Amino acid sequence: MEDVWMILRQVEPDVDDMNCGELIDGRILDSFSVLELIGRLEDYFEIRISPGEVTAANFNSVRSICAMVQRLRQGE
Amino acid sequence: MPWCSGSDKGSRMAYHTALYLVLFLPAVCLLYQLAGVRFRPWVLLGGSLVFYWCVSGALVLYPLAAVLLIHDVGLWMEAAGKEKDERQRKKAFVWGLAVLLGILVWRKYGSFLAANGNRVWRLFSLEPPFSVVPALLPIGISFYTLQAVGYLGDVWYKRIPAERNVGRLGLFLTFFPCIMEGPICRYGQTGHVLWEGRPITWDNLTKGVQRIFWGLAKKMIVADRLNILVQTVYGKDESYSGVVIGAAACCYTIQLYMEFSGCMDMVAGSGEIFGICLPENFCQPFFSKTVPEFWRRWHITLGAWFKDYMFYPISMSPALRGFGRRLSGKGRRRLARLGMSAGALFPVWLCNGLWHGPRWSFLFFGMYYFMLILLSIGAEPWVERWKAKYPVMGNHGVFAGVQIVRTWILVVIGELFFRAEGLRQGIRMFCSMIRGWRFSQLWDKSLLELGLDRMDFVVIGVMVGAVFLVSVLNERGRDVRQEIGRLPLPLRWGVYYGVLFGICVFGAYGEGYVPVDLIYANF
Repeated sequence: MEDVWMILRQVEPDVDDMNCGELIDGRILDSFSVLELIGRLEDYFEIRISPGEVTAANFNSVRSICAMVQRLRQGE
Repeated sequence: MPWCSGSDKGSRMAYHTALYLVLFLPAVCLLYQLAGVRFRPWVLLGGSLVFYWCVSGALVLYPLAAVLLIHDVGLWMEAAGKEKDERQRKKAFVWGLAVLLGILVWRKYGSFLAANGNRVWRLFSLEPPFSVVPALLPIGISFYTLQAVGYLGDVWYKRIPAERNVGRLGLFLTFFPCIMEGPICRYGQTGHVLWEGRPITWDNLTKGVQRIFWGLAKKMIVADRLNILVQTVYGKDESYSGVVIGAAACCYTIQLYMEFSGCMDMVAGSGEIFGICLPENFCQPFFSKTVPEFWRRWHITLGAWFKDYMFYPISMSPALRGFGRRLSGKGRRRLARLGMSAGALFPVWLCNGLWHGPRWSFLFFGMYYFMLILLSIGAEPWVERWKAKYPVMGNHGVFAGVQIVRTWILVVIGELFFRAEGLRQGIRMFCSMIRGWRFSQLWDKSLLELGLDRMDFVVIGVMVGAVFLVSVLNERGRDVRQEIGRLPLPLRWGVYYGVLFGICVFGAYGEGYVPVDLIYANF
C-alpha cells in the first residue's frame, strides 16, 4: 500500500489524503495522470495492465489500486 | 440529412412536444404502473419500440438488428472465452464491431464518401463513378451504435458477463428517453436497473415532472427564441460582419447549451419517473478554466465513451507505449508525453468531429479541439513555471476569471464552425467577424434588427440569469431541487408555478415562431 501511495504522489503531488476514494470520480486524476500512473505501476511491480482494467472502480482509491496490482501479480 | 422516414413525424414526437408530454409519456406511465413487476420492463420495451416506430417507421429494424447482433456476439465471445479459445473470441469481437460500425458508416457517411470520392475522380477529369443518394437515417443511430459497441467492449474486456436475456439488451439499446439525444449509457450502469420494474412513486413522479419542466423552460424560453437570431444571421451571413457574427456565434453557443442540457433534463426527468437514474451529460461546463476541462463537463457521456473505448486502448497499445518508452529513455519525457498524447488524441478527435455528422465543418471542429488540447498539454511546463514564479497571481480569482473567459471565447469560435453549413461558410463567417469588428455595433441597434426585440432579450437575460444562478449553486455542491423542496409551501409552489407560467407566457411557440427540432437528434 505504501509503495502505491508513493507512486501516486509522484504522479499527482496534490493528493494528500491516502484514504481518498474519489480519485477518478472526483476528477483528481485526469486521463493523462492515469496513463502515467499505469506506466509507473507496470515498471515498479513488473505487471501488465490492460485497457480493460482502467475503470473508476480500480483507480478510485489507493486501496482499489493495491487490490488490482495484487490480483495482476497473482496472474488472475 | 433527414433523421427518420418522415421527419415531420419525428419532430411531432420529440421530448418537448405535446404528443410526447401529454399523450405518450402518461400512457406509458399508466400501463407501466398497472402492469405487474415482471411485465413492467416489457411495457417499457414495447413503449420504446412504439416511440421508435412513430419517429422512424420501418427503420426500427436497424436497432432491432443491432440488439440481436450484440446478443449473439456477446454469447459467442463468452463461449469462446470459456473454452480458452482467444482466437475465436477475438474473431467474434472484430466481427461484431465491423458489422455495427459498417452499418453506421454506410447509412450516415455513405453519401458523404461518395460525393468526395466523385470530387477526387473529377480532379483527374474522369467520370464520377458513385451515385450520391442521401440515405434515410434511423433516429439515434449514432447513440445506440456507441452503446452497442460499448457493450461489446465491456464483454471483451470481461468487465461484464454477456447478457442472455435479449429483452434486457433491447431495452438498454432502445429505451425511449435516451434514443434521440442520449445520454450514452453503459450496460453495467443502466442495463439491470432498467429491467427491475420499480414502481412509480409519488416522490419520483413529482421530481421527474419538475425536471422535465425545467428542461422545457430552458428549451422553449431561451433556445427556441435565440434560434430566430441565429437562423437570421447564418441564413444570410454575407449580409453581416463583425460584432453581429460574433453575437450570432455566442447566441448559438447559448442556444445549443440550453437546448441540449434542457433536453437532457427532460430525458433524466422521464427516467426518474420510472425510478431510473440516467447518467448526467453536463456539469456546469461554462465554469471550465481550460478546454480539456470544458470537455470533461460538456456531453460527458460522449467524452467518457471516447476515453474508455478509444483513448485508453490506443494510448496503451504496444506501438504507442514503445514509442513513449524509447523517447523517455532518451530523457525526453515531455516530448514523449506530447507525442503519445498526439497519437492517441488525433483519432479520438477525428472521430468525435465526424460523429456529429458527415461534414467537413464537423471534421474541422474535431481538429480544432485536437489542436487546442495538444497546445494546452505542450504549454503545461511553461504554465507550471509561471505559476511557481508568481504563486499569488496563479491562485488569484482574477486569473481564474481570465481563464474562464478565454475558454468561453475558444468554445464560441468552435461553435461558429459547428453551426456553419459547411467549412466554407464557417471560414467566411470567421474572417468576416474579424475583419468587420466594430464595437459600435453593440449600441447602434444592429443587434435589434436580427428578429428579436428588446423584450426578447430581457426574457432571455432573465432565464439565462436563473440558469446561471442554479449552476453557481450546483457548482458549490448545493442541491437546488432539494432546497426548493424544503421551502415553505406557498414559496415552493410559487417557484413551480413560476416555471410553468414562464413556459406558457414566454415560451417561443405559436404564431411567429417556427417549431425547432432537437439539434442533437440530427446527429
